[in-house]
Amino acid sequence: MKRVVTVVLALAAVVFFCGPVTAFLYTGLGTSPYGALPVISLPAEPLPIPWFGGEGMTNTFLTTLIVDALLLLLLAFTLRRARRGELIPGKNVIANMVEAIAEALSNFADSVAGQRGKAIYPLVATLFFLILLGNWFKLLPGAESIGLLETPHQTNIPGYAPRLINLGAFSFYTIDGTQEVARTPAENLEELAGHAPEGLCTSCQVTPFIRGIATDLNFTLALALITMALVQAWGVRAQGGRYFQKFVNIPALRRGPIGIIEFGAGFLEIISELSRIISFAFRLLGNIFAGTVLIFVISNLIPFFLPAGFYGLELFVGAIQAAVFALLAMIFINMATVGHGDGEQHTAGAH
Amino acid sequence: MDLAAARALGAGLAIGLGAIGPGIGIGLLTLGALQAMGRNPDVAGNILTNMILGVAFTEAIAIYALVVSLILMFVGI
Repeated sequence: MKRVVTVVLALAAVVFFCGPVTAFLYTGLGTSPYGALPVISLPAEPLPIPWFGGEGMTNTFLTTLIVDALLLLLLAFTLRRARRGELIPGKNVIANMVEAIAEALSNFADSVAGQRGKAIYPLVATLFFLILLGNWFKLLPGAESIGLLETPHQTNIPGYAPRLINLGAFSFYTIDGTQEVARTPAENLEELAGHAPEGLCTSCQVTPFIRGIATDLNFTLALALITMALVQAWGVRAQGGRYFQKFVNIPALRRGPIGIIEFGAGFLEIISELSRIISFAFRLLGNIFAGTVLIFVISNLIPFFLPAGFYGLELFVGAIQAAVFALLAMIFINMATVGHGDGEQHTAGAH
Repeated sequence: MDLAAARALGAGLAIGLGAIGPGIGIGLLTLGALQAMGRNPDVAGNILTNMILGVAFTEAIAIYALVVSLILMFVGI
């Protein structure tokens, strides 16, 4: 545990010292210290990569694939190391961290779900690692800032003049935050006609290649649906058909007026189950998207030192949200497997 | 009032009013949890878990308000 704290502190320190770098970069390039506010878009932006559905693969989906591959590599590496018998505390910091987190999750699953803990653990750990890595991946330098230069699709987003920068062998384009350029009527017409303008745009925005995966509702909603479907599956597996008595409690009807209230309460359970999907999806989306917007706005106001602190905050929020998602999934599964069958028998005996 | 002004106003009001309740709620939750931890430090780990769970549920309400204001601000209607 101490090592994990050390690693997290080291990461925070690295992030903090990235702050002055941006300050020198700004002055070094001779542009205004106030860059343009990055484009804030709630839906994921499509990139020109062929994919099903016509519009092209979105940047959040591309990031999800990268994070998946990274996660598989990381876990395969840790597993191989553990199989060779090099256990905690070893020399490799990353593998130690993965093992420590996995062990903490496993202990926690045991303490919450008892004997079922071992069976619930794989799902919960997968959710945790995927969300954690996804949330931290978007904090890497270059994520949400390096991208495609293109004409803004929405008319309410300002476009900026492109500017060529030569750094030794490298040359790349950026946008000049001081020169806001209105879109020409010709560009509007081409946008309406449905094809991108030829050549370099005159009024540009940067569409990032890498964007936080949890800033896309598709990702969080998919995770929420998978989790809640698995909760139902666990309930049926543990209790059989009796699980559905929680929702449509027909046996309770035989118990007179109290039974009717219990029957009605079953419908509230259905609503509660549906609202869990929504709250799962929007909790993760809201926290991570708000963090993204916060970093954009803070970096735009004061582009040095201050954003470093907010990057630290985002590291923390990303980890907390991953933990909360995993924790809630575990608790809901546990609640579904236990049910309230015992309690009903007690009340029946008391009557 | 034009549409942009109404949207900015609505977004600000949505998150501003929506954060009052969860703010009070999270404060009360943490108050209770800290008092319990102070009285019985042995079960602090268990209390912390339950506190985070409660905070997550409370915070979800503020998140709904945040989503409403984000939609008002950044999604074209």
